[in-house]
Amino acid sequence: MTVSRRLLAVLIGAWLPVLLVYLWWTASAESTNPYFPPLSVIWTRFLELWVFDQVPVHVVPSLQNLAVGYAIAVVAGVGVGAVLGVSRRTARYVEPVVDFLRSIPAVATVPVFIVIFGLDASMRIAAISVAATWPILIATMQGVRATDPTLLDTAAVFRITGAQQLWRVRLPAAQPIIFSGLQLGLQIAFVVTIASEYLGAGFGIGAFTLIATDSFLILDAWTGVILMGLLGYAINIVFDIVERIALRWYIGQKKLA
Amino acid sequence: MSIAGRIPPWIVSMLLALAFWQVAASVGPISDSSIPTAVDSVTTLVQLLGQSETWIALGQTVAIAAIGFALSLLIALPLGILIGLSRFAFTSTKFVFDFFKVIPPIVIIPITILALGPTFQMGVFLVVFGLVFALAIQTAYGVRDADPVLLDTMRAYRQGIVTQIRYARLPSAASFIAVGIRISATAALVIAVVAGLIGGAPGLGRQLLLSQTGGLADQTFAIVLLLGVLGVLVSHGIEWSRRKVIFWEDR
Amino acid sequence: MTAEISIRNVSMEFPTPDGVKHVLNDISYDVNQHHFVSIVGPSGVGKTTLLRLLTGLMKPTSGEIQVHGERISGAPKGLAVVLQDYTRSLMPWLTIEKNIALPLRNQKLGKAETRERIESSLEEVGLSGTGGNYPWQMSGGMQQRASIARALAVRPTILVMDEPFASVDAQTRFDLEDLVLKVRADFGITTLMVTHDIDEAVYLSDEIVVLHGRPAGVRDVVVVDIPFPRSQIETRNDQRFTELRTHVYAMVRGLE
Ligand SMILES: Nc1ncnc2c1ncn2[C@@H]1O[C@H](COP(=O)(O)OP(=O)(O)OP(=O)(O)O)[C@@H](O)[C@H]1O
Ligand SMILES: [Mg+2]
Repeated sequence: MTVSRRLLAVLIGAWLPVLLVYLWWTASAESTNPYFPPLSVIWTRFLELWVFDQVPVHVVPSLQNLAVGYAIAVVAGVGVGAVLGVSRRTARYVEPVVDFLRSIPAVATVPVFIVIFGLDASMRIAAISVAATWPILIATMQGVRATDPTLLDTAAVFRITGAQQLWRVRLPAAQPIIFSGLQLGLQIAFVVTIASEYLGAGFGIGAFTLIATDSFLILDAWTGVILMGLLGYAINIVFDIVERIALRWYIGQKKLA
Repeated sequence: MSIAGRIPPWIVSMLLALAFWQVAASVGPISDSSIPTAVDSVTTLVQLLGQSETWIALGQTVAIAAIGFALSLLIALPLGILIGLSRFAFTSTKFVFDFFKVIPPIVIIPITILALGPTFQMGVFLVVFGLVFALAIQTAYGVRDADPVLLDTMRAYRQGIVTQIRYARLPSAASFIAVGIRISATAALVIAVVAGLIGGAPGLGRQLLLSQTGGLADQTFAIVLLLGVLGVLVSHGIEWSRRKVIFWEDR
Repeated sequence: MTAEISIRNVSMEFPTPDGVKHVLNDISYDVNQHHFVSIVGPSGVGKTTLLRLLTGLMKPTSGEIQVHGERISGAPKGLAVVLQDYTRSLMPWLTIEKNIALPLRNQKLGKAETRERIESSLEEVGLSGTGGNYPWQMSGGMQQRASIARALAVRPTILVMDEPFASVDAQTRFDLEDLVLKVRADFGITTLMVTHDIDEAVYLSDEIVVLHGRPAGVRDVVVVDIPFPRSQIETRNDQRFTELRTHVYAMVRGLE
C-alpha cells in the first residue's frame, strides 16, 4: 500500500522531467542550427569529456576552491557573527559596513580581488570566501541575538556563562537561522566560483566553458553548462541532506507542534 | 553631549572603514598590489558621477533589472496560481521548478551569449531565468496554503472557482508573493550586473569589466562602490515600502 | 537551625518609560536549611522578581541577599532551578541525558561519575531509560520531571522553582508534588517555590511567605504545622489543612 503510493508519488514527480528531456531529445534530433545541436550529440560529447577524462583537470580544482573558500566563510561568518550577536555595542559600529559590503553584488567583487591578488587560485578563494561570509555572518548574528531568554536564564543559573554560554546555548539554539545563512552562502560561493573562473583565465569548469564559447566549440560549451547546472543542483541536494541531519531536533519539534 | 557623540554610528564606522582601507592600500602586505587607495577610489567615483556614460550605464542596468523583474512577475504569478490550484500540477512540476530554481543564471551565460549575443535582451533573459522559477514556486505555495476550512465553506455554498481564487487563494498567496517580490527585486539587480560583467550586456557590469581588463584599478573600485551604494538604496527602498505596506494593512 | 538564605531589606525598582516602577519594598526573610518555603501572592505582585533576585539573575536596587552568610553576586553555587515553562527551559537540541549533563560540565566530574549522576537522577524522578529522548518527544509532565532531574544532578543544596507545575494536568500535578516531597525527604534540599496554588503551597511547605501590596512587602509568614510525611488524600482532608488554606487565601486576597 505505502510502497505503491510512494511509487505513484515518484511517478507523478517524474513524468514531466522525463517528458521534457524526451522532447528536447526528439525536437533537436534533426537540428541544423549550430547553436542548438542535437541533444544526442551533446550527450555523447558530455560522456567523452566528463566521464571522467577532464574531471581532474577542470572539475576537481573548481570544487577544491569552492570547498576551501566556503570553509573559510563558514568559520569567519559564524565566528564574527556570534561575537557581533553577543556584543551589541560592537555590532552598532560594524553592522553598517557589513550592510554595505553585502549589498555589493557578489560577482562584482571578483574584479576587486583580481586587482589585489592577480589571477591565481588565491584570488578565487579570497573572492569566494569573502562573498559567502556575509549571509552567514548576518544569519549568525541575528540568530545568536534572538536566543530565547528563558534558555539563557536557565543557563545562567546553572553557571553556564560567557564563551560557554555562546558555544553551548546560543549557537545551537540559533542553528535553524544559521543554516539558512549557510545555504545562501553556499549558493553564493558556487556562483562566485564560476564567476572567478569566467573572469580569470585558465582552468576550472567555468573557464573551460567560457573559452569553449569564445572559440565556438559549441558542443563543449553545452556540456559545460549542463555540467555546471548538475553540479549546482547536486551541491544543493548535499546541503539539504546535511541540514536535515543537523536540524533533526528542530524538524522533529516542528512536526509535533 | 559633545559633537563627536552626536555623529550617527554608521557614519563613524564608514569613515573608520575608509581610513582602514586607505592605510592598508598605502602600507602593509597588500600595498604592493595595484590596489588603489580609498581617497583615489572615492575621487574617481565622484568623477564618474559627473560623466553621462556612467548614468547611461546605470540606467541600462536598472532597465534590464526592471524589465526582467516585470516579465518574471507577468509569467510567474499566473503560472504559480494555476499550478497551485491543482495538486497534480503542483507535484508534477515541483521537481522541474526546484531544479531550475537552484541553478544560478550565471551558469547558462555561455549559451545565452551564443544565442543572443552580448545584448540588452540577453540581460533581460538572464534576469527572467533567475527569478521566474522561484517566484512561481513561491506563488504556488501561497495558493496551496489557503485556509482549507474557508475553502470547504465556499464549496459548501457552491461558490465558483473564481470566487474561491479571489477571496481565499489570492489573499493567502499575497504574503508569499510579497516575500518573493522582495527577494526578487534585489536579485534582479544582481543578475543585471552579472549579465554585464560576465556576458557583456550593456550597463554597469560591462563598465566594470572594461575597467578591470583595461587595468583601471581606481575605476574598478569606484564602480564597485557605486554598485554597493545602489544595492543599499534598493534594499532600503524595499524595506521602506514593506513598512509602508504593513502600516497600510494595520490601519 | 541556621539560615541558608537571608534576604535583607531587599527593594527592587524597575526603570520604565513612565517613571520608576517600585515592585518590592524592604523584604526581609530567612530561609532555614532543609526547609520547604512557598512564596504566594496575587498575580503581578513580584514573586518572579524575588526569585530572579535570589538566583542572581538580577541585582536588587537596595538591600542584599546572602547564601551561607555570603552576599551573592551572580548565580550562587549549589543552587538549581526548575522553571514553569518546561518547553523553553530544556534545550530542545539536546537529549534528556545531555540536558542533564550540561550543567555538570562545570563540576569537572569524571565520565563514570557523570553517567552515574544522570542515571540516578533520572531514576529518582521515575524517568529511567528515557534519557535518549529529546524533550519535545515527551509529555509536559515528563519534561518537568526531566527539569527536576537536571536540577538534582548538580547535587544542589538549594532548589528554586517558579510555578513548576502550573502548566500540567491535575493528576500529573499531584504526582509531581509528591515527587518534590520525596526529593526533599531523600536529600534534605532547601527548597523555595513560587506558586499560584494555595492548596499546593500548604501541602508542600514548612512555611509560606505571603507577598502583598504595591510595592510588595511580606504580609505574613505562615508556619504549616502539619507533620510529614504528608499524603494527597489524608493531608488535604486534614482539619488543619483547611484552616491554613483559608487563612492564606484570605491574606492573598487582602481580606485579613
Ligand atoms: N524587567 C522589568 N521591567 C519592568 N517591570 C518589570 C520587569 N520585570 C517585572 N516587572 C514588573 O514587576 C511586577 C512584578 O512582576 P513579577 O513577574 O515578579 O510578578 P509575579 O508575582 O511573578 O506575577 P505572576 O504571578 O503573574 O507570575 C509586574 O508589575 C511587572 O510588570
Ligand atoms: Mg511570575
